[in-house]
Amino acid sequence: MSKSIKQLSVFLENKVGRLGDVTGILSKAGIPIRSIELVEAGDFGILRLIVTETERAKELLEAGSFSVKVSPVIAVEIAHEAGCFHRIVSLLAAEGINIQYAYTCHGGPLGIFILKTDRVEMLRAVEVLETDGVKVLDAI
Amino acid sequence: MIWNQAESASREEIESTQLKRLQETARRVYAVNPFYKEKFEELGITPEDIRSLEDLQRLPFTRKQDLRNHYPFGLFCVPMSEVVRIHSSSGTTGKPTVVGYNAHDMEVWNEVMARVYTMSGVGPQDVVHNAYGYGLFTGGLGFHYGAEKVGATVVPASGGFTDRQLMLMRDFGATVLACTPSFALHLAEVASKAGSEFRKDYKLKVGIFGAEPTSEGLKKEVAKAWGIDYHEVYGLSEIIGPGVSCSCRQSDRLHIFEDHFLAEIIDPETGEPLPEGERGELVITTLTKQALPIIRYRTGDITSIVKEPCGCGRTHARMESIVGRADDMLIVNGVNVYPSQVEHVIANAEGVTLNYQIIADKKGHLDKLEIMVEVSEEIMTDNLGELERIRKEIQASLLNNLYINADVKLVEPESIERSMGKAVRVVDKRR
Ligand SMILES: [Zn+2]
Repeated sequence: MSKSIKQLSVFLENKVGRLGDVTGILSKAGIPIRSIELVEAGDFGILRLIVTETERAKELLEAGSFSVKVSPVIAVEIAHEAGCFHRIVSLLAAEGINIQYAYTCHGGPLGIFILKTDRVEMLRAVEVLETDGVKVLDAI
Repeated sequence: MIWNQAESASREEIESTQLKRLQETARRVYAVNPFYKEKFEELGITPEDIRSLEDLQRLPFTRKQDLRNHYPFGLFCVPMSEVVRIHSSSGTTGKPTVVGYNAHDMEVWNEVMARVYTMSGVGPQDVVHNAYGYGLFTGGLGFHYGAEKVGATVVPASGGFTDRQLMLMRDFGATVLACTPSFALHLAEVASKAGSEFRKDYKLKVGIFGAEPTSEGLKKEVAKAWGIDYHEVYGLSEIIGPGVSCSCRQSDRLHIFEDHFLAEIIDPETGEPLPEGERGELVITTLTKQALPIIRYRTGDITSIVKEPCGCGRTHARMESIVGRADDMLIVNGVNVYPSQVEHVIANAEGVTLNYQIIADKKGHLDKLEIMVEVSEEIMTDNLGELERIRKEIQASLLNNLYINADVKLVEPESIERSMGKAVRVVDKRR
């Protein structure tokens, strides 16, 4: 898939210390975490991660008995100013493209907005954004 | 076609044969084997106390552990000079169980296997591809000699070597496949790589499957994958090997060869007999075995038995395909639950086999059931709502199919306690 980056999703039970187990595995292996988001539903949650070495991180986490899923997500560059999130969201909404979830990633003078659309809509979403001059990243 | 008239005898004839043979068997074991003599004496009975089939309940149970305790030949009832064959089960825990046959027992075994083949519509015109393992395991040789007895051509393929097996099946024109259902499915999967029309290269019409617990789903899948009639065989080496019972063309239930095996269904907890048609533990007494007769063997398998005559013309009682294992049975708010059923429900709901554990506990006066399901790579997703949907779907299928109200919890891989590499299926905290 062109113009997408890879995100790791890790299944976590709501137990003390499990988040630390994940970050511990990555830190021991010297893999920097670019972005991290935890979402929960009752007894379990999903930890979403953007890291520099996706495949190696996946192997290490699986060896540590975690269920890991790699999925493509869209990363766009945004300026630190009012209205920039709104612009992206409304561009996609105007095309009827649903955003399943979104979060941000910091680093450098500009911010990065990470979003997930339905898989079949991804190519179109990237096209819509780029046509309007939004910078879509293929690596972060 | 029915191999032996005995299979369609009247109920009275069956029972009078059974009583006569039960009395002979009781006399034999009591007279020659100290283990049985001691057990009879403990209960204050002698073989002369067996006057009707109901008196069977006065006889002692025999368990797998008894065979292990008398390893290797302690329960044999003929001199070793008379024994012509030994088979043995691979014991995953402790000593293996060893079984022996004299020439008469071999005839009995071949006879019941000939009935199995005939019931499956197999005769002299057929080529039987026998992919049950040959060796200490009873499957290979049991199916082998039975096929010879009905005059079929046997290909003693044994296990493994999938590609070569498929070549032999094609080149020799196998019409009958005898193996475990999972191997049959594996063969079909590999064969189908030759294209969707692969079946035209084969002449298979019948499969005779057994030797492992099998869900209804797997049976249908195997029958469809090969486009064949599915016949199921039940047996265990302690009793004879394959050939205790087999399903006919008219019924999914398996006819028990009642002139050789006396079957009972008991409550696994109390040991009391259950009414006809109810599910409980299958207990078998051999009626004609000589080298290793067995009195009231606790198979540990859960099934039910009905005696009404079958549309196929046979009158021998029919048992259900094994529903589960007695050791695993849980009673939850009065409902019997077997882990194998829970496993099937989960597999049907999600299309994949997931590791699970059933935890039974008390909440006030009521039983409470919690089922942990490991989130494997197959069902992992980045979508929280999707995981919650899976959880609810499993919960709803358990309620709809097994009438149990369970709380399903998704847990991390490898988080369910293992024992000897296998997940511990049941934890009963009520005990
Ligand atoms: Zn029948």
